[in-house]
Amino acid sequence: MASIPVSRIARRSWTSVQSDLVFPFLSPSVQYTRGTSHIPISRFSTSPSLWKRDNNRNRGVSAIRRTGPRPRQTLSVLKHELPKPVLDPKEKTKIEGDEDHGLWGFFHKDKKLLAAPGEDNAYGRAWTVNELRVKSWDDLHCLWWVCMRERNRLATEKIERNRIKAGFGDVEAEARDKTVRKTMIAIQHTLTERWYAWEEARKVAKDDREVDLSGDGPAYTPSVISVGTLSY
Amino acid sequence: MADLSNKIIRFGKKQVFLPKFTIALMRSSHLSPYHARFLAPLTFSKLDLRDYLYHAYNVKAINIRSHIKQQPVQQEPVDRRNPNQYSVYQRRHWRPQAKKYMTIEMDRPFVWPAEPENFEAWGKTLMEEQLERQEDKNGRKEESESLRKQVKRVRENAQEFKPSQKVVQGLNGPEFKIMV
Repeated sequence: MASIPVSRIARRSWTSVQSDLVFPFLSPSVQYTRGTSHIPISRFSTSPSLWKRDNNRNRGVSAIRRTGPRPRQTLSVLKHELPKPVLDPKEKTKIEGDEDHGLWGFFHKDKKLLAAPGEDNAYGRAWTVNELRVKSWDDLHCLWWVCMRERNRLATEKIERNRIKAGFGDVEAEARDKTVRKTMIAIQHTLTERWYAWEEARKVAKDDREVDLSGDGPAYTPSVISVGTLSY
Repeated sequence: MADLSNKIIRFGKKQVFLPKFTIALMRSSHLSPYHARFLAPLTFSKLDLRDYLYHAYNVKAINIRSHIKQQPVQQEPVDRRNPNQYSVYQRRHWRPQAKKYMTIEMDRPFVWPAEPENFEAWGKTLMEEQLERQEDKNGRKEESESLRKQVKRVRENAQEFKPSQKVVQGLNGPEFKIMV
């Protein structure tokens, strides 16, 4: 419990008595005996305050001392006018998109919304399995992803064509899509063939003395080495 | 946006070499240029889309939200030449597969290309003429025009229309009113 701070009483008595030029230690009760109607008594509580600070939000803000408003003080007036929302779409700031944005991959390479039916119709034929057999895995993988992106483009354009009711073009796009799908099937066919060929070769190699499948050392060691027997 | 673009993106470890699905970019004019909307397969997850877009299109999806829209129930179309072949109850009902829409937030803006100014290459006028002729042939032109007018009238003065009251008289019984 906080005791009554002595300095407060002392200060009060000192200030009040100072004007009368009477030493307080000579006549400690002078301020009470002097009294007329007005007796300055400070009412205060001896219990400590529960508040960490008082609820006065303007504490410390003084026009006389030119403190200015406290930081983040809400004033009844605004320094700047509130921005007004632009409702008219024509007056809105035009945002320029990226020229090399990845989403252009969903559109025709000329960066236009729709390819004309004639352009969609200008294609050759699907890759055949025979042509793909000689290609490496990297080539096939590349071609597959080209097909994927083409199909995505066609799907995007189909939705857009129907939305703006552009007219014809669905049949051409569908035919193109079908050809792309044929290529994809051919790729799968080639890879399946390749897998079976590898699997069968592996089975044969298991019983072959010349082939070592363990992975240590050379995979193929021919047992008979003939030098110079062949003559052309 | 700088801090957003630096957000760490981690990808899954399962490698898919030959994916088969198709996704379509959809117009999202109600959203900002930093958004893009896709029609994705139903099995697609947000992680799938983020991974796919980054590796196939080099698009960084910072945030993704997805939404599945159920499609309305459809009925088997009536054969016009033989409209009484099936009654309403015999006709088959089915619900088309739901659609999954996924919206991504990107670090870079993308503005859609402008719509073509003339649709000559697509034969728009020819298509419209054909449709009109078809409508005429089916004898539905008058019907549809009348309907169009009625709808317009209802929309313009909605106050004018109230539920009708039909008077139904029983054989011997008293009159009673039915609100239809």
